[in-house]
Amino acid sequence: MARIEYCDDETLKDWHPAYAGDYCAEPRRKDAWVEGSYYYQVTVNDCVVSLADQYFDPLLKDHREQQFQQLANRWKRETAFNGHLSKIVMHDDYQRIMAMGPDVIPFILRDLAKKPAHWFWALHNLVPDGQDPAEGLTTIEEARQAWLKWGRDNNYL
Amino acid sequence: MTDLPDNYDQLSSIEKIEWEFPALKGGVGYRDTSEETIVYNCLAWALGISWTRYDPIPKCAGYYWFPGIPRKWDETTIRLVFEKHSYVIADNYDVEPGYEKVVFYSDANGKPQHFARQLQNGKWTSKLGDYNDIEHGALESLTGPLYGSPGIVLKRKYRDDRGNQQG
Repeated sequence: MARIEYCDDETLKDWHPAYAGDYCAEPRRKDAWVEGSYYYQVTVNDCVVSLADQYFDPLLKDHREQQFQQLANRWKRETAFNGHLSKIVMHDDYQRIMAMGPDVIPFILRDLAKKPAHWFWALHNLVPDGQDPAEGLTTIEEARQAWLKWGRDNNYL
Repeated sequence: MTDLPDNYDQLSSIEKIEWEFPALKGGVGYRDTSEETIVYNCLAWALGISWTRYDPIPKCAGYYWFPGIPRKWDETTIRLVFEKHSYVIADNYDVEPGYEKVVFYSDANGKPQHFARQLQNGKWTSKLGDYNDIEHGALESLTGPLYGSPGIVLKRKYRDDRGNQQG
């Protein structure tokens, strides 16, 4: 079951464009109930909103990608003058990204496809079963291409 | 690191270099000599290498370290790397015809943070992290919280076998 406490359309749309889809078509009056298997309650501005899982999952993924991008941007900004990898990968934001788990692999690979960056250590530690398609390679570009090929072959890209 | 300006991400790599190293502001005393790249780092560049990064830890694809040399980033170990490349300790930063010199920049704990190589014209060449490499006249222009200050200096007989520019 999903329950919506009253919230006007414009607030919901402003919060996230996903709300402009099917869910917005439902009646949105106080105590209106919608069929669903799970719901999550979130607070948007002053409104308490409950979402069925099928609506929440895409929002959660979107949120995680935004969170990844914010961390990655700050990590790059604050380590770009460092020449030593251990200092680069021990940065708090790099560690936070690694702590997000394997879900961030597609985000990392998409970032790597745009521009070379120091992601190989994170990928090496996030990929299941210890796979490292770049193992033994000694240049950034070789390692980057090996990881991008791995990403395409394994449907991460 | 001090607070970054709001528009920091929109700055060019040169503007970021001048912001981080105020002594270089306005192009004073330096020129950039490459595009920005992460292909090589300051240690590799100090040894005249521009095809890989020399980095001992963590052991990671895309980064090279020397067989037989400990995987540590400290002054003793990195001196060993230079000694393997025929460098010996020197006693000053002055240009000596027929020799090339390398200077370690270290933090207050003596941990190396950056390396600069002297060119035959007496100026220094530095690879600045993931950004450009530059030719700079004064070692002190890179002194600060990022790289610490110039310390030990090593030298070896100059050999023009790398194809790198020498000013």
